[in-house]
Amino acid sequence: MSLFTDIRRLFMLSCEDVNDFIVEYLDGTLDDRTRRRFEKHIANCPACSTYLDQYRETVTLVKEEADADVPEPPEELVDATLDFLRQHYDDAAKNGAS
Amino acid sequence: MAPSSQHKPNDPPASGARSASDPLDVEAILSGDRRAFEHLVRKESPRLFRVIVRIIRDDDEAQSIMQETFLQAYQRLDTFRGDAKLTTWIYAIGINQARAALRKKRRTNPMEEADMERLQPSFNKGMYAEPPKEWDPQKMAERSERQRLVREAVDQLPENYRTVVILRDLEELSTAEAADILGISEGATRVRLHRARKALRSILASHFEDRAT
Repeated sequence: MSLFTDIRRLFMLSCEDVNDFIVEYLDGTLDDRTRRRFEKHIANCPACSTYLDQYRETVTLVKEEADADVPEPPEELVDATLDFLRQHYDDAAKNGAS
Repeated sequence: MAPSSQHKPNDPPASGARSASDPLDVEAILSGDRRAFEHLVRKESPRLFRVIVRIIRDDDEAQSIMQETFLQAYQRLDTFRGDAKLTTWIYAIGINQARAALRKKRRTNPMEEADMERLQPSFNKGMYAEPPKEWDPQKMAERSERQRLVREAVDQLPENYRTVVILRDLEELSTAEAADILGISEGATRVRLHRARKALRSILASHFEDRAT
């Protein structure tokens, strides 16, 4: 990042800056000053506002649809895994001894 | 990582039973105590299975990979350095195994980096070169169609992008936890997640955009 960009960001954010900050904004990890400038830009920029809405909607849709898509773990999962482990715990020791 | 365990009533064994909600005894696990390790298996199996099945998209193979993951973890406990949580370390083993299995199967035909680049928004003097068009609520209303589109979009992502979406957006891990599992920095994790989400938005926009706007 250039010194010019740093100085410019002290006063105003471009649409590209706002886009770069979206993850941190949604994670709540932007510092207060940058968050206020981010929100001020969004309030005055239809393109960034629309983009942010669609970005959020994308995350929501992926979560909703993926949750609907994944099967519940099989009931025997834990028991089958423990059986498997009990049969193989000592494999490494045997291999190591050979 | 602090995955929430899904306690099933038949989880605990008859003898020396621990409830799945009991805390892990990491010290005992690291000393090779099988009972303590099996408590970890009971606690973490449902969630680890879910993460793996999201990557590999095959229940039977996911179960097999998960079992191998726990076995490898147990056999390699002496290599655990304590940089991350023990559960994070085990998830990293499982996810790496799932990713390797996925690459071997080559069932999907994921995009390449150049395709990902094409799906990123472009800017001209700091402004959107093409401002986003509104999405048509009617096009988004049909649930089965929407589900298909979203699934196809996620499946198209290159595997390293898909995995970060699974960890952050589906499993809701923190950036730090996802970074530990992926073996990359938190900054790189955020960049990868952002690129993945932007690509997904772009793919969905091609279906949902209101052509009239």
